[in-house]
Amino acid sequence: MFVWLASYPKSGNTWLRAALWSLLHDGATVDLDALADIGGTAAGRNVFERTLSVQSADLTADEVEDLRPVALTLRAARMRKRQAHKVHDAWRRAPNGRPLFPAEATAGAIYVVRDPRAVVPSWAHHARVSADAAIAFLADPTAALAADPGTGTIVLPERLTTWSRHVESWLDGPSEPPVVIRYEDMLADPARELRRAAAVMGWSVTAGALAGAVAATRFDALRRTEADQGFRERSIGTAAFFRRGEAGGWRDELTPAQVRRIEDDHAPVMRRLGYL
Amino acid sequence: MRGADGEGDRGVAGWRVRSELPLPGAPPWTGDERAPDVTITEGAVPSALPGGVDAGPLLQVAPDGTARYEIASVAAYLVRDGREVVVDRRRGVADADVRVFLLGTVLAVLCYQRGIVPLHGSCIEVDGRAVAIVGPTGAGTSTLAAAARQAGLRVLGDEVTVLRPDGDRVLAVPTVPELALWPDVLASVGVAPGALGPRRAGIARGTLPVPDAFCAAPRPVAGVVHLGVVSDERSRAPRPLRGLAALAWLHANLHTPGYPAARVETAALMGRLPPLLAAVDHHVVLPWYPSWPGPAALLEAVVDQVGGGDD
Repeated sequence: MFVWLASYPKSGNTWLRAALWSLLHDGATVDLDALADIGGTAAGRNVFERTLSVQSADLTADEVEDLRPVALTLRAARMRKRQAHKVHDAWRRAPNGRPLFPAEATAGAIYVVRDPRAVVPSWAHHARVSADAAIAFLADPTAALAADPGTGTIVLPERLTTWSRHVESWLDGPSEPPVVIRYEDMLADPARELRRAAAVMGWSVTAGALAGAVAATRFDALRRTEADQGFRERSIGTAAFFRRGEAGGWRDELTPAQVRRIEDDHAPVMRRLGYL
Repeated sequence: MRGADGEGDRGVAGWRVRSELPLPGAPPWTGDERAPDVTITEGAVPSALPGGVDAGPLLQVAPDGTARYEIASVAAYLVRDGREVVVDRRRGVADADVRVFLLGTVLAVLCYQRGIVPLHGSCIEVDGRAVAIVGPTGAGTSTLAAAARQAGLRVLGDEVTVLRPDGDRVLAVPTVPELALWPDVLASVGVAPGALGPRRAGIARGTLPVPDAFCAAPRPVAGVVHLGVVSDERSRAPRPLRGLAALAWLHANLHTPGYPAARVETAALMGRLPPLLAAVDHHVVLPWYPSWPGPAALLEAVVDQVGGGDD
């Protein structure tokens, strides 16, 4: 069965996956190449195609959406243990009405969320766009990843919608609400938040492994690991995937007007999560 | 019936194919006077096969190996004995849409039924020998075939690569002179946007006919190149594969692995892979990274690895 590690992009998903990986390996230094050990990405194109015996690029967007829950349910039935899969999609139903992440394939879900004022500079860096463009992206109901139909990618399109709608979709959509982990809490008390995540995975945790995982995924450690190993999720033309790893970095990266625009766009959901 | 006198027969994967469904992309059959190896007719397909095992919701496999494949909005296909395909198309669906799945998954199933291994990817000719370029969708196997064409090389096929044992050798057999390409790669391989034909209604990936660059005869296989996504763009060196690792990569890049899995035929399939390993000189993982230079440079790496002059 799947545990969904769901988040809007640049909200700490990979950080949490790295910490879970280390925890599973008794607190070892993270092997960024091997993150799939704990589970892959829910939108993987190849595994979709191999599970269903179909070429996704020969299907319409609606056909792919309708078949995604089918493929996930088939895969869940074959799993011997829980696997944590990264999700950037908003929670939603496929055109045929079936939830994209169906309850029968789901053992649990963790929703990682981060202050949108911090997501903006991080997304701007990752996508190589201006802060203003990133603010517009977070407010765009049609925002999506890998969604240009004219471009071939190794992942299927992931539809985000707006930052606010993304949060609400995951908090209010599934019949079983997810465990919410705030990026800022992961920074403040990583051991506590990692223990909560491990509980969703159904893992028993030793103090030694927990301490090791926390040390291995401090941002300076992750940055060193990335410098040593490289990381395929880094964007072309950017220096690193793991950038600052701070909670309040946005204060010196955004103008007051930009901060106000983000707060205007997302105030109700920011309040709901304690960001305002 | 179209082609009943043999005049309209086509040659696909070395087989004489007699089809009620037009196959305009496939070359005419120019071989001997044999009876058709594969017939494709239109007719009713049962909604399920007795005793069939589901390999997912689209593919069902009966104990005798007969397969039923269905794309709900397009057609159901019955595939039997490696010789016979019955197409039950939905009302109003265009020939082209039916053909896409016929020349993909259905072709792969025909291969399995004939004891031939189909790989997922393209195949090009380098110095009179074939090089299979295989990998997952999106890795760039078709783009590399297009780059090969741009460099003056010929193409044996795309999507399904058919490797047929022939004594001590393995032959790559040509399929159809068409490449399946996304519009965004056209400029990088010297193809005008208008040259890409529609593949299926409602999808962006198109079909590029390449009759001018088609190698229509089988070629001994010099190498199998697996495109593998790597994490570190510094590790660009192609990695030779041997033994079990080569076997694992072949297995990972089978076309339609659901078919042998549903037949619990994995052991038999694995038995067919070692001769393939032994008969092919080069098995290579070519690291692929999004920030790499264009397909031409990748193609050079392929030719360097498995090209002529080293046998």
